Amino acid sequence: MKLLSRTVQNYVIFSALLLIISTPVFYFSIQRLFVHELDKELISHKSEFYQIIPLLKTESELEFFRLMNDEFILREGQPISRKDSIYSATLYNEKEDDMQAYRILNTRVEIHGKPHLLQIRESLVSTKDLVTAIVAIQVFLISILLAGLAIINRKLSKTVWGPFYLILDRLKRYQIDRDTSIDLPRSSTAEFRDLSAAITQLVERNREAFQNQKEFTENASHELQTPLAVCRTKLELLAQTKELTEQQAELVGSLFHGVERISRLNKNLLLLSRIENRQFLEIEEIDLLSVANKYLDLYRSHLQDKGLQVKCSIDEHATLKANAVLLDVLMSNLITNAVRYSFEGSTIILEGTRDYMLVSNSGEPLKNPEKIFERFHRESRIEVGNGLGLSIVKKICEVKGYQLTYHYRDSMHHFKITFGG
Amino acid sequence: MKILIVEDERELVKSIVQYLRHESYICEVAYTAADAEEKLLIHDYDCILLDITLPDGNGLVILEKLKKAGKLEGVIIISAKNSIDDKIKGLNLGADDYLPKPFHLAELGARVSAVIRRKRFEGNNTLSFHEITVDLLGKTVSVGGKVVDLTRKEYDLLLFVISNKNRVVTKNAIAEHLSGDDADAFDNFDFIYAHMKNLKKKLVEANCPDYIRTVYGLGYKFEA
Repeated sequence: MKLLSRTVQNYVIFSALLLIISTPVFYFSIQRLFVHELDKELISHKSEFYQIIPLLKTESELEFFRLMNDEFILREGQPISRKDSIYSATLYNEKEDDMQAYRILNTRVEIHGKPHLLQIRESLVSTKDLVTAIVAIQVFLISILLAGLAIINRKLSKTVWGPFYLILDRLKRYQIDRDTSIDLPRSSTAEFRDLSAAITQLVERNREAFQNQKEFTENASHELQTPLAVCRTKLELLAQTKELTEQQAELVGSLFHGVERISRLNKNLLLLSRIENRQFLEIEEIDLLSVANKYLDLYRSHLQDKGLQVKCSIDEHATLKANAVLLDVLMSNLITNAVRYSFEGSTIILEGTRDYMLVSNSGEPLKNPEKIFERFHRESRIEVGNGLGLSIVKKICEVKGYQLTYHYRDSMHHFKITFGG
Repeated sequence: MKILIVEDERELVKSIVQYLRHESYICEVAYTAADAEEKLLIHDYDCILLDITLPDGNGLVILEKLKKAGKLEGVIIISAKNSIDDKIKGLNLGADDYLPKPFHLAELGARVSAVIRRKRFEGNNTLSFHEITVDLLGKTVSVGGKVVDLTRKEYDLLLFVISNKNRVVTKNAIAEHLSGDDADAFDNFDFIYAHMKNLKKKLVEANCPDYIRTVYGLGYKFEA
């Protein structure tokens, strides 16, 4: 839920609750106030009537008064309580031919020495209308208040929260391996200024750590190259020694083999960090089929050794714009991988157009297929590779924006690279 | 035949000198660019091994100076900077060959002898060893005048061991020479064994003595 919606939601809930509770409270208290006023009026009418009584000397004068004031009703000869009573009732109104709510005062008066019941009525209709109007106005005002709140909040989110969303957007787009620094907007709001400063600092520190790590790998493997080369050449010279016994020759051979493996590992690490550092930028038009054929030709002996067939159906005119070195590495690593892990006597399938290339080879299903592109991941310790080949493939795809997918189907491993983009 | 090695890594230089001495090459060494320039002013060399990264300057500058002086033939760039950029620049400036570090001494030996052959025996591009004659242009091999039918890999293999004759050539070096940089990724040298067996068989069938000796656990040695 958005920050704005959350705030507005709270406002709305509070206002609605207030509206629901306050409306009846408001209604009833105003009504009570009015009824109280009416009662006071009825009592004042009663005292007025007392002043009039001495003026009504004859029976006809009394009748005249009755006709003139229909809110006063006089009845004779009823058992009348000595106490006054005030109550509300709905009575028939002859004039309007309708039932109407009234406030009624019953009291006992003596006219010409006879006890009479005096009933004074006041219509409640106008009171009700007034109360309804007041409540309606209140509801209307609260609604306007709510709408105003929503509009103001929306505006605030666009202006006041603007820098925040801008910072968020920049952060989302920031890529540590590509962008050198993060450019955050200046804000006049202190909190956002602090946020910007904190983020900039954090990003700076992270980038430094990332850079150090990257440089370390590259420097370390670079520095290893020379001593490794020295080791290798010295061993080659040792192999030339005339008096070398068979046992010694085998020892030298094993040492040589070990040094070769370190060299290869080192070379691949260096390649990996060079790809990460985006050092392969030259783009040229490359014929996919000729690259594939180059490596199939180089590895022909290995293919023959394992009795492997190759079914290559790469389009003859499949050319794409790519970096020649990286495409070579991609092709060579995928084919090497296929040759290495295929069952003897099986078939390796190569497919390709200008949009994609697919390398499929037979093999046991993987125990951890999700780890296949991880550095130094090997399915078993017996494997001969150094566990970098496929992570180099993945890194190249990442850097060049190719899509790399792996799946296992029909007892075959399928590696697909979609170029494009 | 005189070779100048321009390289600042002393241990590597020592190894190169020791390895090439077998071929009766005379090696001179320059550890710095200034040293190299001085030597180049005084002497002529058949082959120059040139490192690109030198403590006191870029090896490519020396290459440019050599080009101006018209002494370009026989330059092999050896560089740890395994970048394509250097290779293209170096070859554009007229270097004969480019060998990225780390390299096998056997590979260096083969490249050096190729460069010297090109320089010394212009027009006459053959290489002989007793009854074996290798036609470098036609890429054919004959024993006692009779052509032996070799595959391209077998031809490459023979040329490689002859270029490093009297020295042990390791299986790794052969694998890299035959199948390129990534060949050792397989850690399997059976294919070399197969090629070598076929080559030896064909030579022996052509009445050639078996000059290729197997050095157990290490590789092969071509010697009379």
